[in-house]
Amino acid sequence: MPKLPKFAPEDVGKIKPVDNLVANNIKAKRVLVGKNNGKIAVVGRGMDKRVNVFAEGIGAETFKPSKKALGLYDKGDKSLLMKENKKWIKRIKRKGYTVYDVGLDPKFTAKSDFSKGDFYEMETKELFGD
Amino acid sequence: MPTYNTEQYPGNHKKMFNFLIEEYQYFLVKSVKTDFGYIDEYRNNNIRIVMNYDVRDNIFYFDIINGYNTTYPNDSDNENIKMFHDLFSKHETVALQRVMPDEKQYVQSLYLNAVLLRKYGDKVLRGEEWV
Repeated sequence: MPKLPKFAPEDVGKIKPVDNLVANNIKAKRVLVGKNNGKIAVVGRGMDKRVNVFAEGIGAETFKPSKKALGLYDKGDKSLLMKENKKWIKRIKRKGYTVYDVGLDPKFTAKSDFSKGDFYEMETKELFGD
Repeated sequence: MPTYNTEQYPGNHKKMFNFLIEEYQYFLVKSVKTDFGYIDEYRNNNIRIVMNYDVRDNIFYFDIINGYNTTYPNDSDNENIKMFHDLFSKHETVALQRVMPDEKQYVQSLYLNAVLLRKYGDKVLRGEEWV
């Protein structure tokens, strides 16, 4: 497991760039510093390819939808999935998680594609204000 | 936000990419549904094809990997891991959005990926050249 950066008490609630934090070959881009409570979460675009892979490498939480939300979204109704995703984001923010953002796939940004999609866009707005 | 049904994706995918097995003797070594989409992986000697449809994020992560033991995924490996789009772009101008699902559909984009991989990927799929 890579060594995670340590933050000072005055950093709580701040957004900081992350350099050289790589887990399972996925790079973190930035972090929202939480309370010093050991709770860590990960967001980003590409749940299977990047977010969950990085999270496994640092022992962090990621969004886990309910079976009902999964059943609906396969059929084209993503409203419950979005509702649960937003609820999870608000919970980790309220509980003072340290949240790492793995951002967009660098292979896409290298092609000047910076689109976030509806879900990751909601996550970055709620957590990072952009 | 897209509102189409994606339940037929596994069948559509297998039908459209069956040429990898029939014409290039690839093996389908992984085909799973995850919480957020689908992952299919084909292998033939030294080339691996990984196709991840991330339904939550409405994006195709379709990659060609050179080397049986190449670590995947890997943000830093731009040499041995190439997007399908990298291959297509060597031969014609294809907007990235055309080979990605959009608000209205994923099937036509999936089909276009299969058509262009078959059209331009012959030597790469046979391991005779790299992207």
